[in-house]
Amino acid sequence: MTMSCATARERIHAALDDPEAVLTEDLQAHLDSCAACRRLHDDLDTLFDALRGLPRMPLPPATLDAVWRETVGRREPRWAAPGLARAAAAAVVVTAVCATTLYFVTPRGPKKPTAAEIARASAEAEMVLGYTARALAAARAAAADKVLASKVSPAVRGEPAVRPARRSR
Amino acid sequence: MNAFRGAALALLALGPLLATGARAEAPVAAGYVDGAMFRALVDDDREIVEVNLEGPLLQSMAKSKGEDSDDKDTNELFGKLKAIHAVIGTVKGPASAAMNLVHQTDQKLVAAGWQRVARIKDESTMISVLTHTAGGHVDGLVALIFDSDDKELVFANLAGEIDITRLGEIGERVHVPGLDQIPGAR
Repeated sequence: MTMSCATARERIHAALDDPEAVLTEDLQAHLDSCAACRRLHDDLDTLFDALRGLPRMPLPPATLDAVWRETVGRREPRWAAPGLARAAAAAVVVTAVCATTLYFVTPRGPKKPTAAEIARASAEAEMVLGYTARALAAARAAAADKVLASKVSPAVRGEPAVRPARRSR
Repeated sequence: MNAFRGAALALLALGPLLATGARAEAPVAAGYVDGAMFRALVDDDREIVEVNLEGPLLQSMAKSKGEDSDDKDTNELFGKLKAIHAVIGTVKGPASAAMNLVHQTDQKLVAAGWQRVARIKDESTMISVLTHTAGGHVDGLVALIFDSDDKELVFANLAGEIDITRLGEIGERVHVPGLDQIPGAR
């Protein structure tokens, strides 16, 4: 089965794009039998040879930047869709409001007292301890007096111990 | 759903949580007794001593003392206390009202599970010392002293772990003018 001209032209372009490619037998057979395709192949071969012979010119950086801006840099971010953008903005607002509220409602750590505050507090605390201790001492003394009066003194005097009076109901 | 409407709903959902955080307060210690009623009874035109010391300041006091052995004892005592509250002053109005308040407070505390360590009452003086116990440890102490002759009232409340014996020893080392005049004290 002979190759169609359309297929042959595709194969010609593919073969010219790859400098190391060789023409297959069926393509060569088509070119031998089809003058139009052979003319296309010869013209393209001449053009490609001429192009390969041109000196290589470096791409100016400014041009590269311009190409980058116009191609890759122009691509819109995926989240820039209107719905997603609004959701992102809403999330930022909620986070900001929550963070601000938490900042104000969170109790701060206690302020470190100054040496003067500590000294004053120590004096106050010692005074309270003093009063408390004296109250305890007074209670001890009263209890001792009570025991002396009701138990020890009568025993020394040879009298019966004083029993506490029972409360009438 | 509209994104901003969603944000509003999220805020509404967070509302109760934020409100709870705003209401959060330090828990009241078990051995704490409010002395506001005694403060109201004291004459503002006379000399008043009002003491309100709580955890952080007590901890600072415990760390700030010197290397003296007496200081170390006091350090240890302060370090275990959670609060010290006291009102010392001269009562305005009739002495009988203050005497009644001291008596009622004593009875209320006993009814609330406090143990009365001592109660001395004569014609002109009332001294009452009560302790609150939890887990075998004293975690609150109240000392009430009132002398109807000079109308001087002392309300003192210590909250936190308290060693009564050491408290007595430390307190007796403290030299505060006028302490010796407490009725019954030797």
